[in-house]
Amino acid sequence: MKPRPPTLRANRRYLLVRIAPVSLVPDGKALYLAIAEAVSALYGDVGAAVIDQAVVAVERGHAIVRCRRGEEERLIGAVATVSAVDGTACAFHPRAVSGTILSLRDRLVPPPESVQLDETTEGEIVRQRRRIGAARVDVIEHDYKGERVVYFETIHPEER
Amino acid sequence: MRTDVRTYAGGDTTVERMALEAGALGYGAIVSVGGPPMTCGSVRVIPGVYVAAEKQNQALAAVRRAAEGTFVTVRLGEQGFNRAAAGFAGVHALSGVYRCRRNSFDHVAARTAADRGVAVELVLAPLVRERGGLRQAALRRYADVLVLQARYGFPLVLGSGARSCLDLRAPRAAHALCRLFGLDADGVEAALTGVEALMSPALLVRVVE
Repeated sequence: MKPRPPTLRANRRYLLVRIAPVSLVPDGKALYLAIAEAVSALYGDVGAAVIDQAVVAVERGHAIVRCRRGEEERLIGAVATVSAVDGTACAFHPRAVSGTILSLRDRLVPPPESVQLDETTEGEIVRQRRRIGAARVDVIEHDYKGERVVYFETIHPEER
Repeated sequence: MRTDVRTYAGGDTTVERMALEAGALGYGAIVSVGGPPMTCGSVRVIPGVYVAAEKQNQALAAVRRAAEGTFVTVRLGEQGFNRAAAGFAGVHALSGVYRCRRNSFDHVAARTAADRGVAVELVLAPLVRERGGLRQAALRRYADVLVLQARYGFPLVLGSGARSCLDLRAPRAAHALCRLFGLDADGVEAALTGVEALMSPALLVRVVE
């Protein structure tokens, strides 16, 4: 199929969002479905068709979401209403909007690597405390349902 | 200084962590209902009191019990209660307008709130968490508050209603969400930065002999 000439292509904008919690790496399709549901619920089918959202990439704790030019604010509003992906609680915080994916990748600051502090086992449930950066600690629970963050805290001064 | 006026202590996030996450999103302060006063990094934690009483005398007693330096919010209810609550001394904000009946926060309560410098709190949680009719009702109530605010000029404040740090929303997201019910960018900034003026209102100079 012959590609459309550039002057006839729709102009796009790309939104960089930070994914919280850091340990969550959502599947691109699950993320697309969550955002599509949020856009449809907020603006209806007509609004969703105008916004024309798509998930372009999920990398290094961030996601890049595409929309039509001029619809960035509406997309930010819809993305702000996503509170779970595939049943896992999460949040997406807008970082930047750009006309190219390349410039967003330049601005992308990856989250710090997490370091395991300790691990406890209670029956079939395994709890890990993972330190993220200087002060943040996530308590992650592993059970038959999978992995999820159950508690957010800061590091105790003695552990520094 | 941008402030999130509604976060709760006692959820799955410690107050320190909530403050850290709020600071990373661009807030300078948070009001933590049930939390202690502290400064975490560059973020100030203001202790908050949320009064959810059915009767006026119960609400007034709870407001009077609130300690100095706390941000006191009263949950709105029926029309008579709302008119009285707007005039309580020591109240900083009125909350829960999204769950009120239509017109229960009316022009009398709005005028009283404007005269007493009491803010109306717009919580983002119903816009984020709810779907369908409940979210539509919240959007209608907030749009109605804006009509009254344009007429009487009472202050607005914004809160996320976060019990977890995952419920916090960045100021940019707050702008986008507030646009849904017609609050413009200047109005959002005024609402985000209005807490300091509410906590320390400009009073007339008194001569003390």
